Amino acid sequence: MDKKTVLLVDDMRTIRLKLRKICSDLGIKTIFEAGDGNEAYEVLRNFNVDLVLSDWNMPNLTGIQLVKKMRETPKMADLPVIFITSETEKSAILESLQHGITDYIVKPFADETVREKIRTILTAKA
Amino acid sequence: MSSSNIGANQTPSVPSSEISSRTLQGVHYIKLPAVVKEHSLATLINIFKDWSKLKVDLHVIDFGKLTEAPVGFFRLIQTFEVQLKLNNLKMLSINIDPKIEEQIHKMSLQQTFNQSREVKREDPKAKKVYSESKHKKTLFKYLINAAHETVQITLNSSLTCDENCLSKVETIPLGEIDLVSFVPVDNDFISVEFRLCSSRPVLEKFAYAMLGKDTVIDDDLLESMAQELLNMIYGHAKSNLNDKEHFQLPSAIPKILRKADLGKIKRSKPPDLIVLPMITPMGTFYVEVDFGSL
Repeated sequence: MDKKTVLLVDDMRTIRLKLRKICSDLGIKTIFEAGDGNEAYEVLRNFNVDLVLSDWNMPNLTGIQLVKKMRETPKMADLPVIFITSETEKSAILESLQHGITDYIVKPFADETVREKIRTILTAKA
Repeated sequence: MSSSNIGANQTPSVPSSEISSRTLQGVHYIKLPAVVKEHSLATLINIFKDWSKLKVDLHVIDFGKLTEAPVGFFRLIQTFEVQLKLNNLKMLSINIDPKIEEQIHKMSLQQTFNQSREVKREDPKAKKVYSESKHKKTLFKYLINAAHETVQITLNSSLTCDENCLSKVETIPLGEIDLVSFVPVDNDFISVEFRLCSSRPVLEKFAYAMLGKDTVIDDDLLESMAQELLNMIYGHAKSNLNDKEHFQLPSAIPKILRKADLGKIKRSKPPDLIVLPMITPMGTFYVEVDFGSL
C-alpha cells in the first residue's frame, strides 16, 4: 500500500482529516487533498493518483460533475472513484452508476467500511 | 457493491461488450448493448431470469445506443418486469431512443417501459403541503433517526432525543452557543431552515471523538465539525425522506454563523419553530427546525 496514491476530495476539513487518518493507517504514504471538484481535477491533471475518494455536495464543482469531467479526460477515464456522501437517493445512485463510480460509502460511515473498500480496490489494481 | 459483466463471466456466447450489469446501494443497473440479435435471446432469457432473483430495491435498464431490437427482446423484458412486480420490485427504463419508443408503442408496452418518473428528484407540481402536522412529525422522526446514526457511527457515542423531546427555543442556552450551522430550504415543496446550535466545548469533544485525542483543534476545524454534523444529519434525513416519504428536499451545503453574528438569526415563534435537543454524554447540541424564518 505504501506506493499507492490517493486523493481525498471534500469541502469539510474534518472529513479530509478523518479519511487521511484511515489511509495512513493502511500504510498509504502519498495522500493529496482537495476542497472541491476543481481543485481535485487540477491535482489529477498534475499527479498520478490510484484512487479518488470524493464527497458529492461541494461548492464550485460537485463530486458528480468532477467524475463526468474525469470520464471525458483520457488520463482519468478509468480511474477508480469512491463516493463518500449522504446522498443515498436512488436517483443519485443511478447517476453514479451511469458515470462508472467504483463504489459508494454512505455518510455517516464506519472507519472499517472505508478501510475495507480502499483495500479491495487498491489490491485489485496492484 | 458488486459488479458483473455477464457476457464475459457467465455466458461466453454473449460477448462482454454486449450486456453488463452492476449493483450499487440496492440499485441494479443494466446497460444494454447497441445491438440485440435474435440468436442471443436464449442466453438473455437466462441472464434476466437470474437478475430477477437479485435482492435489490430497483432495477434500471439503460437502453444506451440501442435503436432496434427483435420483438422477443421486448417480451423478455416484459416478463422480467412482471416477475419483479410479483416480488414488489420496481424496474426503470432510461435513455430510450425514439425508434425504440416507437416499437414499444406498437407493442402497447408503455406500461412496462415508461417509469422514468419514479426516481426524478423534483416534482414541479408538488405543493407546499408541509404545514400539515403529520408531515412535520415525519420530518422530526427522520431528523432524529439521522442524528442517532450520526452520533453513534461518527462519534462512537449515544444520543437521547425522541419525538416527545420537541421543545421551545427557551431550551437553548443561547449565551453558551458559539457556532450555528444552517441549511435554508425554500422550494415549491417546503420553506424551512434547519439550524444546528452548538458550543465550543461540546464541539471540541466531538472533534476528539471523531478524529482522535492527538488532533490539533482550531477555530476552522470546529466550524467544519459544526457544518459536517448538520451535513450528515440533514443529508441522511433528506435522502430517506425523499425516497421513502416522497418529500422534495434539495441537496445543500451547510453554512456557518459565528458567535458575533448569531444575533442575525431571525427566529420564528412557536409553533413555527421547533427545537430538538440532542443529548449526548459529551454534551448537548440543538437542532432547530424553523418553518417561518424564510
